[in-house]
Parts: sequence; C-alpha cells; structure tokens
Amino acid sequence: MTLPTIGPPRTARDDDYRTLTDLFAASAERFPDRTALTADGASYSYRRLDTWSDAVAALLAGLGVGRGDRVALRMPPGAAAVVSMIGIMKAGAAYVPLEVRNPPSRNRFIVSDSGVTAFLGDPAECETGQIPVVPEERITQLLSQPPAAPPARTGPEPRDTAYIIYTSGTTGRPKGVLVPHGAAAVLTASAEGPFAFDEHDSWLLFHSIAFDFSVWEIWGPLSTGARLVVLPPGTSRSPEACMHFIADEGITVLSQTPTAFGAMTQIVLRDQFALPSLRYVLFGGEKLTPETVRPWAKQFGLASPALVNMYGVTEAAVLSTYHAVAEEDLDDDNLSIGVLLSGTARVVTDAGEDAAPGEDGELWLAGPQVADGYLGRPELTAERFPTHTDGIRYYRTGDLVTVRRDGTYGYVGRADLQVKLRGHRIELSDIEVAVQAHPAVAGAVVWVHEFKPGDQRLVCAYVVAEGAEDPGTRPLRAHVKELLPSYMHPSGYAALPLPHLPSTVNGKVDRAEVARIWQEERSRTR
Amino acid sequence: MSIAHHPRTTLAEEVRTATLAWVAELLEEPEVELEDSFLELGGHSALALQLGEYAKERFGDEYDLMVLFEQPLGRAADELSARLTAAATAEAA
Repeated sequence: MTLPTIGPPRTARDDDYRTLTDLFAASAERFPDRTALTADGASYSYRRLDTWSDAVAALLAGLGVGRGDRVALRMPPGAAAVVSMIGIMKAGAAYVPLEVRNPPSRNRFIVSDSGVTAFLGDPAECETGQIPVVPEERITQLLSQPPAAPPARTGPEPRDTAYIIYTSGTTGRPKGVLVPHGAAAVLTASAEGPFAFDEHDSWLLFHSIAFDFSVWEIWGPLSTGARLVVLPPGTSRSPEACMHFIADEGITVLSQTPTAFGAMTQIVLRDQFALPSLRYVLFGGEKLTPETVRPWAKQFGLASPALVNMYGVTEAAVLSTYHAVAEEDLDDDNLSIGVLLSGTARVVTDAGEDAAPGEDGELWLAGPQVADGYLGRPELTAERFPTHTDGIRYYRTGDLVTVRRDGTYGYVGRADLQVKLRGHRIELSDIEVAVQAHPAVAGAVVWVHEFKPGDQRLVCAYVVAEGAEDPGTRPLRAHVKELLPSYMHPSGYAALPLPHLPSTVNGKVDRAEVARIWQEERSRTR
Repeated sequence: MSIAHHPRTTLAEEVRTATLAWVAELLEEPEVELEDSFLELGGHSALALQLGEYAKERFGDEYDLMVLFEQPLGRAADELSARLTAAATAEAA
C-alpha cells in the first residue's frame, strides 16, 4: 500500500482539458482487466464497463440522442446508473441527474427546465411527455448482449457539457449548472499534485448522483484505473452500516461531509473499529471545524489516513482548494481550506478591493474548472460569472474567506449567512455553533426574522438531541450568554417537533424548510 | 390623576406586571422575568419606543432608555414607578 502523501499543487497542462470519456478510454486501455466498478454485489472490469457503456451509447444514438443533447438520469445508485452516465457521455450528450428521493415537483421542474430529449430510469411522476424513456432493466439487459460496435465519431469535445447539476440557493428556483468535460477533467488531473492516487485504490460512491461530490467520487477512480465501489442504497443513513461496508470493501479513498464523518467517528470509536485500508478522507460540502476531526485524530493520528479539508462549488467543477489537516490545526479556531487545486482566485472585499492578508472577502474563482454558467439564465450567469476588468472570467462564489498570513485561505461562511443587524456584523453560523454546543441540542438554525417592518430580530430554531429533554428557552439563553456577546443572542428559541434538522439532497441543512416549520409552529401556538 | 391615589407599593407592582406583559407580547416571549435584560431578550430601539408608548398611554410617562437597555426589566419598571410617584407627590404638594 502506498502511504498517503500530500503534495503541492500541480501546474495545469493544456492537455488536462479533455473529455471524461477520453479519461475513461485511457483507463480501459491501460487496465482492461482491473475491476472498474463494484455494485449490488457484482464487479465489472474496465473492459466490461467499456463495452456495456458502448451499448448504452448505441441505444441512445438509436433514439436520436447526439452531441449537445441532454439526457435525464433517475436511478438509485448502482451499476446501471454509472454505466448510463458513461453511455450518455459517449453518445455526446450531457447527463442531468435526478435524485430518486426528490419531491416529484422538483424533478418535474428539472426535466422541463433542462429540455432533456431522453430519460433513463424510472420517471415516476416526472411528466416525460413525448420523450423516450429507457427503464433501468433495459440498461441491465444490455450487459448480456454481444458487444455493440463503438458509436461512430459522435463523441463529445472537451468544451461540451458533461453534466448539468441543479443547485438551489436559499431562495429562488433551482438552476442548472453547465459543467464542461474539460472542467471536470482538469479537476482529476489537478488531483495528481496533492494526492498519490493510483489503480490500487478503492473509492466509495457515497453521495447522490444529483450532488456533484459524486462526480469526484466517480471520476477519481475511473480516471486512474482504480475501483469505484457503490454504497448500497439506503446504507448512507446508517453510520454503522456504512463503516462496516467501508471496512469490508477495503475502501481507500473516502469523501465525506463533516456531519457524516462526525457520526461515523462516533461509531468507529465506540466499536473500536479498524480501517487499515483507508488512505484518504476528503472533506467537502460544508465547513470543517477542528472539533469534528479532534476525536478521530486523537485515536488514529493524522498520518494514515490523511484527512484533507477541501472546498468547492458546483460552478467550478466540485473542488477548488485543499489542505491536509495537521496537528497544529486541531487547536486552531478555524481550519484552513488551503490552496487552489488549479486556476487563480481573487478575494474581494465589500469595497471591491483585493483583500489584504488577514482581511475577509468574497472568493472569486477563475481558471479551467469554472463552469459555463446556468442553463437558460443569461442574466444570472452574467451576474455570477462576471468578466473582470483584468479580462478574466470569474465565478463569484458567495463564500467569504480570509486570506491568511501564510497565503492560504480560511473559510468564514456564506456571504448570505453573514448579516448586519443594528450595526453589528454577525455570522449566523457562529451563533448556531454556540447553541449546538449545549448537550441537549442536536442541531440549530439561526436567522433574522422581520416581525414587523423595522423590527428585525435573531431567532433560533433547534432540535432536541436524542434521549435528551428539551432544555427550554431560559437555559439555552444562559448557555449562549456564556459564549457570545449580547448582540449575537437570539431573541427567541423554538424547539422544532423533529428528530433532526431537515436536510437538502446534498446533506446540507435545509434552512428554508426550517424557517417554514418554525413559522407554522409559531402561528399554531399564538 | 388616578394613580396618585394608589399606595406606592401597588403602583410599583402594577408597573412591574405591565412591563412583563408588554415585553412578553412585543418579543413573543412567554417566559419573561424581572431579572431578564431587555437587550438580551432581543429588545432593540424600535421595540423600546413601542414599549415606551405603551407606558405613556397607561401611566403617563416612558421608561428611561438607559435603564431599560442596561439593567434588568425590574429595575426599569421600578425606576418608572419611582418617577411617577415623585411626580404625583410634587403635583399634590
């Protein structure tokens, strides 16, 4: 086993900007007999996955799908979903993933907004109209058919869209991010700098195919000849079942949100689990705090697996920065998100200036990983992807970072979670962390509610920890008073009648839903 | 003015009770106590003005904002009732 090392960023080369199908073809040529995919208790070699996905591409071509088209993909995580993704790309089209568990209204919106011309999987209540629908069973059947001739030269070009993933802000309708092949390919190429991934790795597909963390989980292995292991549907909800699966499958590269990792750490420490195969744990999706990694580091150290804090956005091909968690970070208040994987960045202050060391500002990303914009939303695209006076096209992330004195970035929070209330600049997540530090609180969301015009106040909704009693307002107020200045004290606390905070498909807290339930409870009790 | 006829303790009690009820209503916070701080309950200047209007309408005078913002609610109520009593005494004299 290669020891997990963390290297410096790698200088991008022109030929990094290529298609994902090229990357896959190169792996299939180099490692035809190595296992490419393990799913649903079966394994498939690169050769097998290559011919199977050719058959999917041929089937799609027969339905009239070609370069520049878009194909919806709604399947539970499994071999059919992965081969469909590759097949769609080989046909020259972009895949549009739909989360199986999404409410029908959201999937209906995505199908209609993206203008797909074919649908793979179970459309459920998606109203596909005249669009041809290919059920999952049909894709599975293609496996036992004799190899189809590889599709004629209709494959994609590096600038073509590889996938369209929908993201939703705190308000407004979901928007489809157009990510070109080249952007995702540069992500995998850039990973060669920091990480020593190779064909002996086993990567876990943990996240929904509708969340772009999955792009990294899938193309990390498929671009290096490694093995992609699909977590069986439903398993992700049980940290215990997950840990057993990771141990049994000998997973070496694990991508996690800090929340999921925290739950897994508890199980590992409780059951004295051994995970000798694990080489890298890569964090993304939300802010990583030293508290999350401390219990793990105390037990296992930080050498193997290496714990790597990563930051990224869908609009710049999944991941943009990395930082290997080190001993000294554990006592720090704020974990560094490190340095850029590729491209360049600006940190822009409120005044529109470049931030000086120690200053906060919004992170603007530039470079080959930046996406093409939002499908069918030219105004929003122009606003979020401006071309600056320096002639460079940026993506404005809406995330606030600090330029640390060592030149690395520190994550501060979402710009839209930073509010100004009666002259004070307040980071809402800081208040949430303080409330959550109460042992009886499992999760908390804080926001500014306008009770009447001119009457804006911080309010907190929380869920009670399992087995604990609702502490009630007074003890929570006393608890927060110990930790924060008075301008950061919520004026009211409301326990939500839920076992845990509602989350979006990406595993992030669904703040809009929390506010809705809070409002509902409030009108019920008044 | 009718309040001048109330014994001092009753007026103080009345202001305290009214203060707690108003703050509870304005802040949508049922569990308000005299030891609580207006500021820490989430009170701010617009709400303080509203609170002052309630007091003016019922008792004829407003809270001292410095006391309201810097001391517990009980103190703000007592400061108001002390002022009301002093004014009533001066008027009677």
